[in-house]
Amino acid sequence: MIQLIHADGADLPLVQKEIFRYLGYGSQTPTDTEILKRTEECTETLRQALSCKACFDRFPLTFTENGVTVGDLHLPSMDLKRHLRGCGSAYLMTATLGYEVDRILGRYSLLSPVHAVIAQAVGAAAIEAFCDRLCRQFADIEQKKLRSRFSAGYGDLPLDTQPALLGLLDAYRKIGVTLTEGLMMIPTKSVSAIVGIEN
Amino acid sequence: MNLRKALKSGRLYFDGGYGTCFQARGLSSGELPELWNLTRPQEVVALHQEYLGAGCHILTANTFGANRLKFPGNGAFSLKEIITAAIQNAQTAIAQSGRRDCFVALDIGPCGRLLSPMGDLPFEEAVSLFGEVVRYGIDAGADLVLIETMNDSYETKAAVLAAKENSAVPIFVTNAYEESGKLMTGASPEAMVALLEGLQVDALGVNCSFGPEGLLPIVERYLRVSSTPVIVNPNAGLPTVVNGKTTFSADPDSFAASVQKIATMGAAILGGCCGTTPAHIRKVCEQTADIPYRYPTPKNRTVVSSYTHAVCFEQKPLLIGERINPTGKPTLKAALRENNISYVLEEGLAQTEAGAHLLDVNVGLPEIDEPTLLPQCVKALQTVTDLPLQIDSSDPKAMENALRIYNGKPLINSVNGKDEVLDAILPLAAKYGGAVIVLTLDKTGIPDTVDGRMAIVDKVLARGAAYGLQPKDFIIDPLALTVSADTAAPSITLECLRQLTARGLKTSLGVSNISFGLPERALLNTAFFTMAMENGLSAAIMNPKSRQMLGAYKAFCALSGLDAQCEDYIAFATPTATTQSAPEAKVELPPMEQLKRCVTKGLTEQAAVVAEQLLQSEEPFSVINAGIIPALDEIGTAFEQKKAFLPQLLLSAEAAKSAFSVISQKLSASGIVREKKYKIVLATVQGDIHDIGKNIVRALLENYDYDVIDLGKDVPPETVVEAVRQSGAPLVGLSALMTTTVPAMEKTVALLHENGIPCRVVVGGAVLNREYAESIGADFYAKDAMETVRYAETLLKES
Repeated sequence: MIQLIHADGADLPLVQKEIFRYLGYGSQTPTDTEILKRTEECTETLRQALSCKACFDRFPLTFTENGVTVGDLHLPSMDLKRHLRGCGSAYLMTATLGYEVDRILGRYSLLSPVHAVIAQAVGAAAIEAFCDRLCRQFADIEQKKLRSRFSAGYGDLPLDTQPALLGLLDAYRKIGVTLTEGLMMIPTKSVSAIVGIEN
Repeated sequence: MNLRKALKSGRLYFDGGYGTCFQARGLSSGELPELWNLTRPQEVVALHQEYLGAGCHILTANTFGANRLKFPGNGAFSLKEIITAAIQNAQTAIAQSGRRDCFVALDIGPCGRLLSPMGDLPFEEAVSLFGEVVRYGIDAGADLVLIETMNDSYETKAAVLAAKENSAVPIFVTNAYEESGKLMTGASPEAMVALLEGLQVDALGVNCSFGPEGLLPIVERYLRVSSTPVIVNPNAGLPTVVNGKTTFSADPDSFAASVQKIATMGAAILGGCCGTTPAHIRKVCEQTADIPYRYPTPKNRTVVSSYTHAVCFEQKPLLIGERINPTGKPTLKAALRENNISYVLEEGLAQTEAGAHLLDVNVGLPEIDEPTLLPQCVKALQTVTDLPLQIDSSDPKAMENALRIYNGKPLINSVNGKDEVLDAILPLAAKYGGAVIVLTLDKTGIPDTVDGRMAIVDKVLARGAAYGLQPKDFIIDPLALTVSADTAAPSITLECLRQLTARGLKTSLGVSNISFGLPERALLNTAFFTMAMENGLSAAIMNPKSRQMLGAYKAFCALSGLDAQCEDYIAFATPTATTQSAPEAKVELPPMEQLKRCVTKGLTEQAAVVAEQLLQSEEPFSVINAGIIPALDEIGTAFEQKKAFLPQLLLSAEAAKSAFSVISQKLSASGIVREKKYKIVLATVQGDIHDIGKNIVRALLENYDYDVIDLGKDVPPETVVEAVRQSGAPLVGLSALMTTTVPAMEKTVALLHENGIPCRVVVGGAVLNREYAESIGADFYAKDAMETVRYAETLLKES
């Protein structure tokens, strides 16, 4: 049974340290007031635009010679198989920040490279924070340890498994997440992943 | 029986869910329900029969996902076979029922891919793939086209155009809303009603979404504004799992109870969506049978829309930003000739921020390919502003191209009393939707009497009626003529406004014409603007960045009871604390050092101020060469050494740009053109829609005085080759973000080589590295924007 979550993201923790990490600062924090000011601006604008949505379902796992089967879907990947060793089932999840965020990123991209770069980083931090929160919910439901998120394109899990993964969750109809011909996710700030539940 | 007649005479009922019912009958998850039309037709016909037995009039053929993206023709059955069988199954069920009051709807759901520019499916490809479905459905005998569950306004428009272009049957459209009360891509119910009534569909409404009870507020909004019959086909609430089985929260009784409210509110067509069954529909038919049917009353709303909201011409006048128009604007002219759209976008954004309600878009210049440029600008503007646009062109081809790709219901500027104009533009308004501005002039010129101008209005309204356009679809511009030529001119215009308003018609004016040829034009403009509003003006085409004009508007609204508690006026007239950051530059630094510091620290506003001061004592070129360039080099080097980071580099680029623009003004005032180093063509390759990296490279290259020709994103190889050939650029920069789009990059490089074009190719993007770049035939791999600049500099030294 595919389940849905929808939140406006008002209380999503958008940690500056994370944003600066995505901007390449490592563990440093810029001292430049101008950069700090613009980061606050972008964070505020993006926060207003957040429409955090996710759909997820829980599937049994079976291990095959060359990969893992999630529900009825076989994923040919030794890396994923290794990653999920010791798990009997897994959550399949797709999460997104929604279309308004893309609109803002697109607007910045045309008009202000500085804002565009910072807003990209804020968006990256936001979708990760949203996914983290989702995974904590899974852990609460299961009362078990979860593995880290694994996505199509990681290691040897082919990117072209992405349409089937999104299809299993009916992600376009449920939360509006779709793919381009080149298999990029739209909205761009979206994540799909498999999260193993430890036995 | 004729469906359009049936719609006038009584309430019609749709059927309910199919996918969920098929699952109950054994459809496995992942199996495409449309295949059942051919593999298990008896099940499909049986379900249709149950719905007919329950009391529905319109059967939805089992074609929801039938399109060439999902059925590309490599399976057991062709798309045509599937659609034909689906229509036939519904027809069979009706024939067997013996009923004569039933209709078969060709069902069209979302195609599953998102349209450009948010996604990568080109608008015309969407129109074409829906068109194919419509042709097959009509050939098989469908009585109507039902476009449903659409969660994007743009895809909805593409499907409606496809239906209009390939059939003459009635078109019904329902959209699926999110709990926020908007479509997934942002449109409000009012915006969808505006768009769909503009497109002249036969019925419109909502389906699926989140159960009948939750839809009540959205249905209410539809009924308040729609003059067209409203359809409500909700799902049976949200799905829940009970004892391992999926059930929907609304059982037939509670579903029907909610739908009863919807019928009482005035919805004309009722039915169900996911999770509803024949039992639900039977209950709905029973419980609403006694509720009197009302065909919707005309709402007489003059309305336009964007992809988010509708703007209605009401008592409070609207402001239409006039600044995107090259007449009298040399900078815009130059930008358009160079195909530089950023200037247009900045102007659009500035007017949006200044408080305009709509924006006029005019790019008409003699030496410009307007049919190409106008839609391009309209599309780009719709990525930076959510205001409805007024499309302004005297070229019918340019007008059609822009109306076609506009996401929403635009304002069309304009028609007049000339037959050839009416014959060219009115059919476009009927086909694509749009409110139409009417200039009160004809082949004999502008009548100098009120009656003369009103006669033109009557002629245009009569001609519009033949195209299904009503008086509310027109906005009359009685024309403001310069008072210096004829002091009686303003009173004629004002009298026209009075008479038009008394007739219930909406009006607009280009206000500033009034003062042409006179000194202190703002004095006359503001006074006339106020007089016009007092005489009923509905909208003014003006400069929203003019404080005087905006002041006249705010004052008028406050004095006319159109501004509750004078809030808007107070907000406008109260000076806001300036956001200017405290001057950081140390005063004791020599001016050139100050400029350098502004650039390296990214102080945009101060950089311009300091550059301005420097120009009083220094030569422009020495400000560039001794100030800006060394500062850019300094930050560039710091970036390369990882002492500065990307945001700082870009901030410096922005500060440099503001200093450059001051210097360029000075140079062009003295007739000197700052020579560019050479041309560079930039593109994000075909299939790739992530262009931020490319935009960063462009910003830096421009600062280093390169003449950048930016082809944008998702650029076909042929376009790159053509641009390089035409410009003779010695360097091409290509970006790709994904492994899946690197082949397009390889193809572009190969095509450049095949055509023997003597240019170097620099590539960049997240998935590339030096070896990969070499393997696809590129000359250089740049790991970041600074490396691209450095590479460009080495080419300069070679030559």
